[in-house]
Amino acid sequence: MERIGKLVLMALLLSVALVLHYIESFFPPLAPGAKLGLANIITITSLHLLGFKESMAIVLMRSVLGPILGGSPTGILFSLAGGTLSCIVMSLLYYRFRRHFSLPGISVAGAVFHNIGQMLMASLIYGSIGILFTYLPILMLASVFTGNFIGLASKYIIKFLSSKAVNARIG
Amino acid sequence: MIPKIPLKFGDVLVYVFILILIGGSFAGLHYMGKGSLNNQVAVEVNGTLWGTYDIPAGSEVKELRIEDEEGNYNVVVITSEGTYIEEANCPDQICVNWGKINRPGQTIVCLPHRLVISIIGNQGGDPPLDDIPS
Repeated sequence: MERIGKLVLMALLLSVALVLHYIESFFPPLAPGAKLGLANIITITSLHLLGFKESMAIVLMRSVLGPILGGSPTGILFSLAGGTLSCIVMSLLYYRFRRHFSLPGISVAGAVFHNIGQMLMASLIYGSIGILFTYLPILMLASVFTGNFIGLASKYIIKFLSSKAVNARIG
Repeated sequence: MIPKIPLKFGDVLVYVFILILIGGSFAGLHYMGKGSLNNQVAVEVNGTLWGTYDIPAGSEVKELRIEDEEGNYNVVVITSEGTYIEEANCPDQICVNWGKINRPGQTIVCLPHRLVISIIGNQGGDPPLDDIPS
């Protein structure tokens, strides 16, 4: 892929991720602190379309810009911790162990580590590891549902983007 | 016809990992509950603070009798295992049947006597949930 094409694609994915991140804030949370993680669709899609470095760049920018656009800059640290950890885990599974994992499985793992990252950061900031232990069980249960949903959504998006008609356009 | 669920070996590992994490969290909480002696019990009557009490260590038991001028009383027992209301002369006895509380943020309420017992953590309560966006 041409450099300029890659740049455009990254910018496009980032803006979609930001919009999804923003739209998500209108949904009521499934459980305290649990969210759908719609922006994760973009992380998985970019892992497929681009690569680890590019996906990481998108995640980092989304984690910083998302909370600012959403009006809560304090969320940047949580977002960064969760986003980077989940991106690292998902790319590891996607590029190294793709044969053994389905896309929803990778997505669930990503959701799990997103929550772990966030809760570790919260524990660090508030100085009590108890926060991690208190919220983790309910967040893990939520991750199973949201992760599968996001994984399936990504699967169809990737399938669509890989089809010939679309490929000819974004080639 | 039951649709085939495309579950792969790695996916099973992910779910096993989740179960381990859930178990680990409960174990961690349980372990921490024993060690969190820095928590205090706050007693409020009619909206004003009656007093705060340290949670005793070990098998020590602290008993408080909270009584107003009309003869309404609640007997609060504070132990390292948890805090509960042992006896009260309120009509509904909800506070007595409430059971033990032992984690910061938990409360026992006796509505007829306008009594609120709550555990306050050494962190000054739980952080607001809204501070943790994704």
